[in-house]
Amino acid sequence: MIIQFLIISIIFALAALLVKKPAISHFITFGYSVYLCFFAYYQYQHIGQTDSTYFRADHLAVIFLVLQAIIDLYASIHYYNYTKTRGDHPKKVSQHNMGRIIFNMSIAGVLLANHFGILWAFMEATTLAASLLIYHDRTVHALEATWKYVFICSIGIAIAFAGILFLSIGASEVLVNDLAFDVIKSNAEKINPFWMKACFVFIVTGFSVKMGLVPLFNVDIDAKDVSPSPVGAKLSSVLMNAGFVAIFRFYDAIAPSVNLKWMNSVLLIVGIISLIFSVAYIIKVNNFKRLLAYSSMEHASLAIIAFSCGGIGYFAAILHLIVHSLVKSTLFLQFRQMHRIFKEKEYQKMGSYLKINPLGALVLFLAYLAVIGMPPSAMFISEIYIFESIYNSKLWWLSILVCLLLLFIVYAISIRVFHILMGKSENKDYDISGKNNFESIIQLGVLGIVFYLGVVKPDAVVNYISTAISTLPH
Amino acid sequence: MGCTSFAIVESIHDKHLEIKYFTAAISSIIIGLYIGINHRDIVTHLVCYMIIENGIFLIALALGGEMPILVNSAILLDIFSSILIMGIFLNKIKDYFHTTDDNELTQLKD
Repeated sequence: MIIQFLIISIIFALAALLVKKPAISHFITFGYSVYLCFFAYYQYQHIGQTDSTYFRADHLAVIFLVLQAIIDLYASIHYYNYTKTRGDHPKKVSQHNMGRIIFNMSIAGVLLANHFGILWAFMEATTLAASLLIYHDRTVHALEATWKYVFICSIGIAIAFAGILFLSIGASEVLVNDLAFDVIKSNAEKINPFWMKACFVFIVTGFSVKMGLVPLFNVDIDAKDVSPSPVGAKLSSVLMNAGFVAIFRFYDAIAPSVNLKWMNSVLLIVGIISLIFSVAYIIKVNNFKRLLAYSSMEHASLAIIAFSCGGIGYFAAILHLIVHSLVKSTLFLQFRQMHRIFKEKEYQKMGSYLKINPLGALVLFLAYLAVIGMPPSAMFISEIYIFESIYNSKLWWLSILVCLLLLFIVYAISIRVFHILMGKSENKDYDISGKNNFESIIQLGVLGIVFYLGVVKPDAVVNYISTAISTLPH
Repeated sequence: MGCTSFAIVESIHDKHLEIKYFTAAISSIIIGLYIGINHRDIVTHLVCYMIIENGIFLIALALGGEMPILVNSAILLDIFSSILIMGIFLNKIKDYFHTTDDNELTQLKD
């Protein structure tokens, strides 16, 4: 099925590129989004089955695949409106649609991969597809951001490949020549710990460019700032989840060996440093879109800190990433309306949004509550579990540090959001035609899912996530 | 750089490793990163990426073992297409800025 999926995706991509009319290109892309939903449902029905030797749909892959299908539909509705109001050239639209289909195909490949080499190859493909998406506007800034993104991502993925080769060196010494996950996992105690440590460090460094962690986070921020909002929404949600799944696979494979504590320390250091960096940037950033990008970095670092502490932290990390995907994409897509109305990205130049666009302001306010972790949203539940996991590990004093850093972030985001909602803006003119109630209602629906997950913790979701992490040592 | 990489490889006592390939590989990666950091020209950055990839291929040679042919061809395709895309964007930067100096690419800030 996966080989057919890849072939059909390429056919869809070529079709979306070669049609002349944007409407047909949009229709083809929408058809692909529906196909992706069916594909996710098919994988949900066939959990645990190995497909074509190198691909396997386990619980973690299915969770993030379903999420990818939802966010793709969500972003594609907004992208259609984006091009309609801007009157973009048909060639730009076709190239974007082709890029988007290849991006979705590569992410699905990363999630479903059962072999480390295949995972790496699809990760490289996401870089190339994302470059086409980021270069949508064809301005100078877009060119600069795309060049930096492609260059640094390629170097990062090359470093990750060095990591895979180190693992391969260690494995071939004990005559394990296959780099599939279960093979490495069952032989993890035999492999020389030195090679596994080298592998893990290089992997975390390399895939930090995808997940938005230190050391290679900068290009992600620029890319999300410059790209169109629907693209920024996907980069913050779907791509970060793929980066997390890649790090999770290596962690899971190496966990049975003696390196578990060492891996936890590495992830903890990376998480804390990323959190500190994100706080340092958030408290002084003026551009609201960059603020959303730094906030993605902050949530990724919280997920990694929880993941490194273990126990309930594994559950918290996955739940946090699921909720973050939905909320962050809503914020990016609502920002599109704000940008259309105010024509500015800086928060001082936006104001009185509550009066100008009440429905959009409601979306912004509810999404802000969800993002800072206020009670009705599921982010509150995941942050409670994150703190619980930090207390349960031996480093309880870390929770004080994380609390302080989160306090700064909540303060910084709150000033900006309340200024936009209720403050007086520096310039008085705005374009009311940017308002779009249909989009706001869809965004409210997605936020409703987030609040539903938080208030009514559905047993199905909880059991699913617990099964996904059951292979990890508790 | 060569001395540093030799020192690193000598500290790994591993019988199954081909030392000459591994030293060359690690020194390629370090030299590639050094060149990428210190030279401000974009074409040099592209060369730095190729040096790093060559170093990584030399690690694969040092292994003595083999990756399956499907994975090798996927890697070939990926590296080829990433160089292609970087070349396309390099051309566009050259068309717009009329120079490949790095100082022009400093507009994206907070």
